Amino acid sequence: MEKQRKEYEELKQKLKQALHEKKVQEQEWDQIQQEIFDKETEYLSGNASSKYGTIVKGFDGFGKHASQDSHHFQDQDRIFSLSSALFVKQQEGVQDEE
Amino acid sequence: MSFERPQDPSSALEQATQDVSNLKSESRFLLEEIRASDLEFYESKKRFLNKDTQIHKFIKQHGSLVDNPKEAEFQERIKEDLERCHQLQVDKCTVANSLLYMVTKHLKKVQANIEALEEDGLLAPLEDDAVELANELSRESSVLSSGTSLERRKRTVAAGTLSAGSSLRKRVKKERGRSTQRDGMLSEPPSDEASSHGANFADDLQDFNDELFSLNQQEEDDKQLYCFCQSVSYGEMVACDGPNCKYEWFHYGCVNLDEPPKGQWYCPECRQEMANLKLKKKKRV
Repeated sequence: MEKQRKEYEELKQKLKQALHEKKVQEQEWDQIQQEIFDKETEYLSGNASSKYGTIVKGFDGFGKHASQDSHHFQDQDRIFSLSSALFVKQQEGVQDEE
Repeated sequence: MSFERPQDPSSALEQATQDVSNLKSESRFLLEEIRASDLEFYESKKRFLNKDTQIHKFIKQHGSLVDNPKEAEFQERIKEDLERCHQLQVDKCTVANSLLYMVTKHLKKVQANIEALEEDGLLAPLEDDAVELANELSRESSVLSSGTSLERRKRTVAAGTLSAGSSLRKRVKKERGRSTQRDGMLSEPPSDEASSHGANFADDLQDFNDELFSLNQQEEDDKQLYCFCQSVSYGEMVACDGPNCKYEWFHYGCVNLDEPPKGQWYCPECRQEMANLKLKKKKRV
């Protein structure tokens, strides 16, 4: 009986730790996702490099005059964020609310 | 490295543009692949969470002393789903890494071409404004709010890739216009700018891969980021004597130094700043 009780306590402790670990991981995941989103926005909405083309729109215009519409992009151009299923679901959620 | 030596800057540029023309669809395809894996991952997760709830429900209804005839089966299924999830995550990492590899391959090739052209005297070495562009870009990226130190390192990698890539692009573009004027002229020996950029990038990439495959690895003591390139400290470093210098320390390679400078040394940014101040004073007088 004593032995079983000890085992139970150990398992309980382990579960607690695992849950804590999960929470930390989830927070980190959220942060990384946000970071990807921010970086992506920066990349697509035109810093010094994107007027020569981006990986999303291709580099066909490279070496020619930069087009004026290079600063516009649509949600479907967010290929990096869209690679996350949860991002897609969140977007759908946002659209449903509207 | 074995590669065809480019004949002149404009054909090299054309070749490079052609090389990256597939990158658009390739990256889209790979990222969609990741997305498909991710969707499958969520399906699996939903499935095993559902099984888990069923087990909970049974215990609530019958108490924990009654044996659940399905529990063993459920546990088996949950385990299967969890293993599947793990495999999916590993696959995603592989796909993401191959995208990184593709971009690196193109970048390396362009760098090698530029170096070869500089060696042959067909291309003038990089000038200051391109360096400043790179430096502007890395500042742009470092303005973003910072997360944990681990993430900050990852972000530096991204910033490094970005600035290295764009400064290269800028360089190619600039040189193309100039090549007509410089035809036949002998240019100075190639600066180490290109090689140092290459080395930085390679270092960053190495860092990134290390991180990917051994997340538990101990981090270096000095996590502070220095220099235009916003990397950690390595090799010989030089301090800027400018009182308001943003960066303070620079890698020798990044500022074209081989030995300790004599007397006061100011970084390009501070030199520019000082020149501007002087100009203003003159105007006032």
